[in-house]
Amino acid sequence: MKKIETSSKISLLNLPESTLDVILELLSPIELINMSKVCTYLRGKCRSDHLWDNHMKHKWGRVFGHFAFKEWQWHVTIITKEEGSVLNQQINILNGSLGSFSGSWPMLCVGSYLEECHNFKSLLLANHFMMALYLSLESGKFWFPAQLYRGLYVHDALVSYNSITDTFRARTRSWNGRIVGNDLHWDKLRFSPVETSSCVRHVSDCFQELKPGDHIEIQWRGNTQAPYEWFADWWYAVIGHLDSCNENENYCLCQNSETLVVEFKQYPQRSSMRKAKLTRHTEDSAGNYGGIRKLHSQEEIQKWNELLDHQRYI
Amino acid sequence: MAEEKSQASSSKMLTLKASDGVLFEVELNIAKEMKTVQAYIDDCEDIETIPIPNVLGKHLAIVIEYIKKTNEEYDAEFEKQWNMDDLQLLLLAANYLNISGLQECLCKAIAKRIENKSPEYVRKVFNIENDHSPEEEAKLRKEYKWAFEGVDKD
Repeated sequence: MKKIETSSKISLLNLPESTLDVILELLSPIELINMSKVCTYLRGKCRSDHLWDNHMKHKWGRVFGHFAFKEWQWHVTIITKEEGSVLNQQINILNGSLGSFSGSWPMLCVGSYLEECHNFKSLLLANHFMMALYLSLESGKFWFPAQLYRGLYVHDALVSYNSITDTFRARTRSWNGRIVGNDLHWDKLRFSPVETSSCVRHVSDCFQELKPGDHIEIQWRGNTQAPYEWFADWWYAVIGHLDSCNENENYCLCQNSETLVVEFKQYPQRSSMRKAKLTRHTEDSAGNYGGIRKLHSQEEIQKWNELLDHQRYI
Repeated sequence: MAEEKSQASSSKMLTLKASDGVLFEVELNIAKEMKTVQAYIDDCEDIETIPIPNVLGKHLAIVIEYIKKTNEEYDAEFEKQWNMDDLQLLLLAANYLNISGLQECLCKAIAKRIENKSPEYVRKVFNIENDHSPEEEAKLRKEYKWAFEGVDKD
């Protein structure tokens, strides 16, 4: 290795690349942007997906999930297509990029929306996907799908971040995009665990195996008559026993029954609201109840139980 | 000249020779913290003087002291004493000698000194030349400011 003279000036770029990487990994997003302006070499290094992926996981991991990421990929495809292509024209009309669509008119559901998407074009064309994504979230320009905690249910919405207040705004996913929340704190949000569209009933894949004691979330809507009511709310519940069952583990045959008992623990035992009886294999969209998602994660179940306890003492 | 006095006559002592000829007598267990030196010892068992061609006496002295004294408190105060040039030279030394604790400490120190500083400041203290064209420079100046709040004054 070359001997280093005391008289010559040392530069950060003399450090081995792996050591420089360690330093860059310690920098915040703003610092990375500043460093990227120093020289062309650092510009390339400071925009790398690896560094920005770390920041994505660290700051956004709890609220930005797999399905939101798929929406982002959709916007990337639209923005990086050549000018004048069919997809690209969506941008010229609205100055923003509409995400995926589901449902049919008038019950159209928007998956996400990216405002002023031209801001991200040069980054995306240079393949700096994670940096573009991080900036789209930080600036609030990306309205991405997430779920809001409201008492004992979660509500599907599109959310946008406000970096000055460190809170979120929320809109419905329906075509009208009505505001449904302001100044929402981080702990009121979680990422969407299923590819839900608020305007269609979730297709459950777990009906067959549901048995007493299982923790679930079930879609519910208040008004079945109005055409604009959405399946946007998911309530926490537990699968209960049939009335005819003596709840003895060894003799319980509830799992084989066509009737599914869904129990809402926030209501007292004798209340009529406590249990709902549903048919296990139904595709009926006319009722109040929609699809079911079985909960596997202890973390999710614990969060619901904490909210339940909190509710009981009010 | 900085020559360490031996601590105990029972523990084996080793001599390290810095690039400018300065000699340091250190205990074996201290020298072993430098993985490069450890590898040297493993290769040649009976060696007494190990040459360290890439590190100046003044920096080697600092490195040895760090190894002897390192703990949470010491590390927190350690980095404050050195100017930017020394920090970088120390990091190069720690890198060559392969001392992971010191490398980590110095990387954190350097990252801390970049906190909230402008690109101009970074270029000055780290001796980096701006090789952007004037057009690129102008474009970069405005980029992405809209996503965040402002930066501290230098």
